[in-house]
Amino acid sequence: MTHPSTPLSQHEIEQLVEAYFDCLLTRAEESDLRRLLSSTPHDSPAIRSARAAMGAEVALRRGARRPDAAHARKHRPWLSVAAAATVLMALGTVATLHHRGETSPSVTVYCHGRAVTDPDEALRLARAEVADSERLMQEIIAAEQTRLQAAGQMAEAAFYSDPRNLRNLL
Amino acid sequence: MKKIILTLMLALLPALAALAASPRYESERYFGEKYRSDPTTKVTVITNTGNYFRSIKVEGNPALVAEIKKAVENDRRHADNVTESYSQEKTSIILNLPGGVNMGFTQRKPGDCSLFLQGTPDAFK
Repeated sequence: MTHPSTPLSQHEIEQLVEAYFDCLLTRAEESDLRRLLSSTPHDSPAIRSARAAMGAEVALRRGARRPDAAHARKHRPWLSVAAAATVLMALGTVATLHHRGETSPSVTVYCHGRAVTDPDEALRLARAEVADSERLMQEIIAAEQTRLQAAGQMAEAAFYSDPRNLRNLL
Repeated sequence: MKKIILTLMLALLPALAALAASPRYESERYFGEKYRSDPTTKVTVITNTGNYFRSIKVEGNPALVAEIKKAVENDRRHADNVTESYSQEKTSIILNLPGGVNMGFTQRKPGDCSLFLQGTPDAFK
């Protein structure tokens, strides 16, 4: 990825994000994308997912001006689910490679104390295991988002219920 | 005196070698030979050029589940980032560890749990 003189459009950024999740970017390009995500005003589910996965959300909040405390709180759920989002992305890589057959993975499965000797059955069980782990991550991300958004709304309500905060905003 | 130092060094060498060969994370040991032959477990081992994935599922073994949970708690100190989720149905702990290593632990019943460890093969050398 080069350093463009004109800002990238949302569509262009989303294409880069897709390439990132498909593991098509080099380390240098990933660094460029991380910086870009920290500064771009564009926003979409894909961009937010990449921000969470790359930890750019942290940089975004550090660098951004804070118009008010409530605005900053709206972004917090992403930070707290970043761990799960990162794992989900990594597990996606494991599953994708196996499906595409780009590599010949060494897969061994032991069930109830015995090795599964049929390679196809072992691969099927292994894929199911990776899928289970992915499902777990998705559940955690969804549950944490709901819980933290509710907490954010409560904090926002508490912020506006304090007259001192309102005076500071004015 | 020299003899004593030499003897001490020779005595310590095997211990140091064992320490160097021991897994980096406590939880890693649950993907080893001992637990692969355990009738209450299902162990999955995937290794290729880009990925290292290990998982263990335990059913009906509260003692082993407690042991694994304790190991995950001990590994937590290495984590860069942690996501925890506790509900009546289940407990989940996700750790992002240095070098792009990820660990996930879920417990649904006292005797049932699953643990996975994932990263690049280089991170486990």
